[in-house]
Amino acid sequence: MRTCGQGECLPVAVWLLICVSTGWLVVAPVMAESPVPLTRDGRNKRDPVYVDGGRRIVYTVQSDDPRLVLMSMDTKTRVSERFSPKATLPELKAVFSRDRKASAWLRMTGNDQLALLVRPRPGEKERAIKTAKSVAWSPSMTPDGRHVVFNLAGQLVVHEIATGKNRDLAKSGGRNDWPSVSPDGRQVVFGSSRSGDVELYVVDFDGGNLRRLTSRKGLDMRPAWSPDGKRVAFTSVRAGNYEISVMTVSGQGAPANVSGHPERDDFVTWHPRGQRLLWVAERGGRHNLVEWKLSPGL
Amino acid sequence: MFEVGSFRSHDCRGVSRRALLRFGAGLPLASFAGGVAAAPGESVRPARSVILLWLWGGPSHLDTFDPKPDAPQEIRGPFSTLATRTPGLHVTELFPRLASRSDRFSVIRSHHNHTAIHRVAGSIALSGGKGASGDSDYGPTVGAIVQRHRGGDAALPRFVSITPGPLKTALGTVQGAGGGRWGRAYDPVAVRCTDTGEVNIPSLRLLEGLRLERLSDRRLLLGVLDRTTALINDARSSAWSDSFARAYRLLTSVEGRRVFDLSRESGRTRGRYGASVFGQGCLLARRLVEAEGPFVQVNWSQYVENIYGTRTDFGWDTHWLNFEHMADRHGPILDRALSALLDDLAERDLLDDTLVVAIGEFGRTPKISGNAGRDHWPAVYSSLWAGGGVIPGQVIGQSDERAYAAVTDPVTPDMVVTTILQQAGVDTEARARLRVFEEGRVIDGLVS
Repeated sequence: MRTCGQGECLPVAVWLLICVSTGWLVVAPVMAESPVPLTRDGRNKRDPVYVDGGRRIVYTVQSDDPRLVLMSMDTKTRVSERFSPKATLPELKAVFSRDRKASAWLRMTGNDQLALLVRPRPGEKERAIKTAKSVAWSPSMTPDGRHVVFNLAGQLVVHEIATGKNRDLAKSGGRNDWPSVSPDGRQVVFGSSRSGDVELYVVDFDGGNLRRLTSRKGLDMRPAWSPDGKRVAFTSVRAGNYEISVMTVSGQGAPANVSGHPERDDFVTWHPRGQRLLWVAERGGRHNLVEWKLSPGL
Repeated sequence: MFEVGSFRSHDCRGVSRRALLRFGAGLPLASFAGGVAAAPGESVRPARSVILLWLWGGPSHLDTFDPKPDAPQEIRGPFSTLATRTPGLHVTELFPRLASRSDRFSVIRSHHNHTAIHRVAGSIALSGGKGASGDSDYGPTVGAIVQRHRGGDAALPRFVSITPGPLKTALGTVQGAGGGRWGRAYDPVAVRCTDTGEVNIPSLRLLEGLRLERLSDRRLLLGVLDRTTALINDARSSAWSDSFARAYRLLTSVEGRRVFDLSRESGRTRGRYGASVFGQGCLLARRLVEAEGPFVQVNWSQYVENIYGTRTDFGWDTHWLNFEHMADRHGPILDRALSALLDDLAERDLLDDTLVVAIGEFGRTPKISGNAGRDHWPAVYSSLWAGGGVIPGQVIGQSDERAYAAVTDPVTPDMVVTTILQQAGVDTEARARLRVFEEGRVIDGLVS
């Protein structure tokens, strides 16, 4: 018996042993419904997000020219089209305000040049966020569309769109990355190597009340806050495998491994109405978006 | 399917462009290694083929095969380590598949290059030069030497470079990536392979002007090819380059076309290597050595830069976003593709006859930069070696506790090239004949 349909598989017993030895609560092998693939082209994808109340998904896909392209999928028809048909430069990592009026994304503009662009309202001209050095990464937008939080040279920065001002958030030794703003806009969950290993932390939006969420060996990264504000889904690398885990923000209970597959699962996000997760699943070497309905109780 | 005209190989799941002629159906994957037998008096070659996985841009040794978990935070980086099957060998958590296969390979942790400039360091690493000849005068690369040594006029090129394009940096093209001072006749035949497994041969672009895919008459096409053949045969008086001639010879060989048709592999096999340019390139390399191709170089990228506008193809030069790209792309892609290659070669009883080397031009700074990246570091770096007479399950050489320098005898580019040559049958006598690396030194303890 094996835990996957194709590609490289581990026997269930070995897989369970890995999970138990690494402190995972294994959910996926007993979950009633399998993740539903939304794409089938298999090309390398990343950073999907729901928009328009879950009616569309914007994601990044590896392309031939330009090399990275933002795509927009109708979740009903599952037809994808270019999000920015006129873009000639690689673009990736689009994020949006709750009403989708404000947006931010990255554009590779030249040699070691990566611009973080914002558009405060539809129809307005995009503008680049000015940073003192380095390149920005991992943007996250507040639900009201007034701020963008991002990683600049391994530290978190909060950018106020109206004033153009930047401020540090939770600065520390090590690296801080992958910010995700809570649905009420009051907190930020992120990954940090300040303790040595990369763990998840939560901090108030003003920089106070820092607390640690995870304490396990291996990368915990790319957290995504649930719409009800009570849970965080994230990528958890255990024994080298990328898995999707869900845990409560209060820290009660062990993180639940909801993907439970020996191939890579990464770049998780929540449906706006909750109880559904979307991520990029690598199966048999092919990368596709999959959607999964959470089991009751998660 | 490998197609004349578009020169594309398509996924089994569908052909997106109409092909005029489809070759090779039902034919066995033939060996066309004519001329590879050992010369009289020459020692038996341990390796029939070499696959050089060129990790262009310089992978961080700390974030791959020489992690330093006890070093200060500003050096060790954020990644945890994994134990392997090899005593004393830990790798970062980005390489779980390789960790579980370490009994198939050995790691060298004491490489040393002579410069921190990509174009120069790359030329030195590929040619084994000493770094004294600047940026323009290089000897032939190791692939070119193997090609010349094997000689002959077989349909399959003796030196194939699977590459998104000529090796470049933002500052220009790498000079020492082929025949060097021996001339372009010893350059590799360049082949492009996409993440979806489409294959094309850029040097056959001249034929594209004929718009073969618009022709509907097979006889007409064959006539075009016959006329082109005549041009090739009269190559001395034509402008056709040597590489074009070799590529054309490949095109007009049924066996040659068949080798480049990745759709002949099962979906499962293609998936093992991953849907990446590098992964599918590794699969193509396996097909080439299966057909006894002597030397295949798989370039990770065309450019060293990991961010370069429309030219971005994610090289290993991670001054910025080192850890992001390592975790997002580079680690998982390399882990999957290289593991699949080693497994696939072993399962087909090809690994013992195929030397596999994964290496870049240098390492990266141990201390994390102010840009949260790592800069160039030629003082010490790592590589991975398998098959072809390599004694597996070893760690050769050692860097200091913070990975700044080798604390054992440094392994220099000329030693790397000499070792590859030796294992490929270009022994001392042959090297003397070719006037290359007559005094070359094989890496101690690596090979049997």
